Amino acid sequence: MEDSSSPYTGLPARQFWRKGVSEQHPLLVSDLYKKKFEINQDSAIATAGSCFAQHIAKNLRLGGYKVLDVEQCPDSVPDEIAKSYGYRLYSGRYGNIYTVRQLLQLVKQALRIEPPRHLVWQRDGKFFDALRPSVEPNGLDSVEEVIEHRIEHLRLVRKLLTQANLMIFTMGLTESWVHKESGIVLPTAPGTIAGSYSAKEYEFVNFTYPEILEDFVQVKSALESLNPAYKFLVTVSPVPLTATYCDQHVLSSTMYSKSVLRAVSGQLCNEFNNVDYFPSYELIASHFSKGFFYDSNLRTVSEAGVANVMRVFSEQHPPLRSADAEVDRAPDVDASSKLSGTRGGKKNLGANELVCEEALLEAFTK
Amino acid sequence: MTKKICFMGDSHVAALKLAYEQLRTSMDVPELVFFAARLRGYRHVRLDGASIVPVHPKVLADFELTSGGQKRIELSDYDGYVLCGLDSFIGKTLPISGNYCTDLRGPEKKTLVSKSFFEAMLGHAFDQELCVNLLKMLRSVDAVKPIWLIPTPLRSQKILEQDVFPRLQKFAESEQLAMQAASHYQSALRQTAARYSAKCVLQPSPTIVHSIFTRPEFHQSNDKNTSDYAHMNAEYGKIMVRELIKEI
Repeated sequence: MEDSSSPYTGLPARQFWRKGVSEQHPLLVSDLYKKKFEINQDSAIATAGSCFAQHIAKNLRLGGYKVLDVEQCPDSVPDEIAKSYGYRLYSGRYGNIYTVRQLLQLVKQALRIEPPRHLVWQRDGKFFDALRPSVEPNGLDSVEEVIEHRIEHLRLVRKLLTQANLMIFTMGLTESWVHKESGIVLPTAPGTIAGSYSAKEYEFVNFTYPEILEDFVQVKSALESLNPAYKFLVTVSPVPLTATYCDQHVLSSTMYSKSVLRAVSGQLCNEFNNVDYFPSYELIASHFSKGFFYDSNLRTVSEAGVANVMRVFSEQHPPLRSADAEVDRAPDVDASSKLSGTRGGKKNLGANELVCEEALLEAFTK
Repeated sequence: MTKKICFMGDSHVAALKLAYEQLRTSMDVPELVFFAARLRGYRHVRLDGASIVPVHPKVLADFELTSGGQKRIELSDYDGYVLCGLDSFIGKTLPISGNYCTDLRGPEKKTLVSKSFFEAMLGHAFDQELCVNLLKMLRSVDAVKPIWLIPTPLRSQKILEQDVFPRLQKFAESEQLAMQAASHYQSALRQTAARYSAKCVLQPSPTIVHSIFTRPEFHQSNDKNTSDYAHMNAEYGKIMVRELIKEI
């Protein structure tokens, strides 16, 4: 016997374009994302990916989540300086990881599934790690130094991958460059930050859906071999390509690249219980938002866009603490928890102020 | 004509003020007008045109007490400015000296960073501190007048008699580590001062022992139970004021 009603009858509002999109405002839309698993205080998060992943990592930290960082620098270093050296961006100083092949390469080398391969670029007499050329803006003094830093970096990434139980990865690009002799996949084209391009040495590659899917499955297997309970949250960066090497318009290349990445992440999410997909790409890049969340270059994502993405994320993964709970790093003339040069701490509250007051009174009331 | 210098700082100004009062009777010194505020009181000042004004009653009271009744600093009244203390103490660079290295061949396990980043860490170690806030404030009003930065004194060596500062212990046990730490600290101070076209008047070597401590005889307190190892006496102040006067 046939049902008289349509299979769509009774489905939630979010599954209908009119109620889910046409009648929604991008800043207010809800129900866009349904989490597959909890992220909580026991989640040890490793973040990596293209530049949009930086926003997610930063906001998770602010929300009190345990975002690992195995390559830290002192709090006193201003953000601008720290970030220009690759600190405080991700859970390690690997710089932007645009392709899944790049991630796989890092994971394999860090976990010693394959030996470390080094490729050193030069610029103005300085030496750069071609696998993360942006993390040392002034380069290093020798090839040996680059290799020493890379080996230490891989040691720390191994520590990260071992400690983490959730990887948040933002897929950025399908297009990439490969060093022919070594097979090393590069984060930037040779000659952009350092090195120089030669068609004999380097070749262009545009990774396909099957290749990217297979690469991610390999990453997943490698990490699950460390911890079978590993979870993965994947996103697709809404940031378009700066340039394409394919003989076509950059807009077409962008749509192709993002569509492939979106399809791969969808497949991963459908196929594996421990892989979730968060739709930041849809929220920012789809015509639902009318380009509102991009800056005037229609490429970089505005603060409002990031905030909206995090709003939707927080509906399912609410902050573990409020942003207001951030520790005020600067002690006050009243809350004298730190005295210049004397021991701070609660037990000395008041005593510190007294010491300072006495010093001034003695000098200025004689 | 005698120069008139505005002397701003925290409670470490006290030793220099005591010394200044003693020295001015016997030598030709510039006129120093003090505006000290206890603890991190300089967090509660703001620019009002070309004046620095306190926005906290305790800071206002400290300004009045230390300047002879003035409620604000009229920057145009002075030929130059001295900044004293204001969180420019070695504790800001010791974690860098103690935890980071530029090669892994040393005996200690430290975090490897490039030479370039190591210098950047030192050069910006005080960026979030009161001394830099004030340097920025002053330079936003006047790009030319001289500014001298007198760092917070090194802690008294007496601190080692108390088992309360374990982080200092490894520096106390190694002359080489202590010398390195002192060199890093001085580099940080010089870089900071230079960025704001200011000059750093470093703590003179006769007051220093083991590279990173002030000689105990300059410690302000003779109280064995004190927890204050930071404040120095007028004898220390005299040496420091003489150094400053040479620069002015």
